[in-house]
Amino acid sequence: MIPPLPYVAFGDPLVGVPHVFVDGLRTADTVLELSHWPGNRTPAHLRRDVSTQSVLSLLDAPDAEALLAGARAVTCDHYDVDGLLATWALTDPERAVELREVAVATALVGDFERYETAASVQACLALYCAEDEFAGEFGVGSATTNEVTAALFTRMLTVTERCLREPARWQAGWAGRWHLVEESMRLLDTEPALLDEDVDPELAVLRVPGAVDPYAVHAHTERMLVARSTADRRHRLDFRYESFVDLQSATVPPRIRGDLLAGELNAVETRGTWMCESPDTATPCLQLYSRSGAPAPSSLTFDAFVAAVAAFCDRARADESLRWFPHGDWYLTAPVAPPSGWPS
Amino acid sequence: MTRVRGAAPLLRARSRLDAEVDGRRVLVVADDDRVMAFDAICPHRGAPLQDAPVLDGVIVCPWHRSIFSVADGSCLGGPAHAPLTAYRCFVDGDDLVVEVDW
Repeated sequence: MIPPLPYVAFGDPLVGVPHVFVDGLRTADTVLELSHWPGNRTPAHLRRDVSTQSVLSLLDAPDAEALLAGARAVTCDHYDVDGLLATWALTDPERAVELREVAVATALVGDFERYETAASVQACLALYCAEDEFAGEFGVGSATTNEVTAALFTRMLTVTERCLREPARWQAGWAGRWHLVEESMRLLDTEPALLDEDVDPELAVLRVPGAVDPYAVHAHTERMLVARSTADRRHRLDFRYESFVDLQSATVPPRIRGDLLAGELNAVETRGTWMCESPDTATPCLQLYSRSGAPAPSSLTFDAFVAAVAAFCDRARADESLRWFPHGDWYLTAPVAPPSGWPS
Repeated sequence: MTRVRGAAPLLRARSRLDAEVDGRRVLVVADDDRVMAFDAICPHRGAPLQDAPVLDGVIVCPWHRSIFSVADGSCLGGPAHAPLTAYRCFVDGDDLVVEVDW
């Protein structure tokens, strides 16, 4: 077993420190990247769907010590559940191996918003509750992004193992969401036709207005685009995280340009502004914005919205300019580039 | 109060401005007749808001889509639980004056 590595915050404290970079890209001092981000340089035999899986694969690898090549720290440049668990696994390899199954499933729940097991959903929700507790303790107004990230990692690493082992300690905070997840799983198990996959080969359409948890939706379809709405025409199109990362377990179509589709919808919308983040962000969402927030009620019917999405997908199958193809240097032009990705 | 010299023409041209006020990053938004400044960092997970989309009276966090009102920084949706800290501003000639008290 490799020795534990300390967490060192991304940014100035990391300069000159040889390190493992998890769940992001690299800096000039990165000796090993364990990540699923597009353009990552994770060794081929360690590539997995989520970064936590790559770290756990390293712990089993016969060449682990050679790959670490003198690394003295582990870091990550943004806080999320997969980044946390990947970092934690290197700060406490023995516990990570012991809790491998729930750790991996929790990372999948966190990144892909997909039901894996009851234990992993509850562990993920426990991590969110613990994060909320900590987030209230520090004001972010005068902090930098790196300082907030460092504070979250430092605090959350102290409770990670407990969230995985005993999520019930935070049950008061996650019971409501868990109830919705259970109800949604039951609904889609018993009425799978509510998730319509007949409109377009890339699209799943949720045919029930109201609250259905995305964890359940994503567990019931492999489509990377999910359209849903409410009774008062608050439509949205979600781009799943799996279509952003360097996914190993499946091949998914390159993302359509939701930002271009938003422009087309704005030509016919009368009640607000459609906006979709660039496809080179992790989880874009196409929805209508107004002064009251989003998704705002649209002048379009849900059928008209879905038809516009399907027509765009159809055109994109013949016109590659309507899709996003990530390449090794994508982050250099991305509008919300990760802070990592320094040239090495 | 802090004066950002020469900022007003830039704000008029784009309706938004990323500025540094006393070493602190702020996002300045002109909306109707009002000008407001906000700490340019999301209270959720600290995402930088310099490049955040501003449309139809809301600021959208580019990381996790928390939505904040440009009227007062209140959170209208998304995972953030806290508002953006907001500061009143006014235009004085070509300058922008931010009413900060930090």
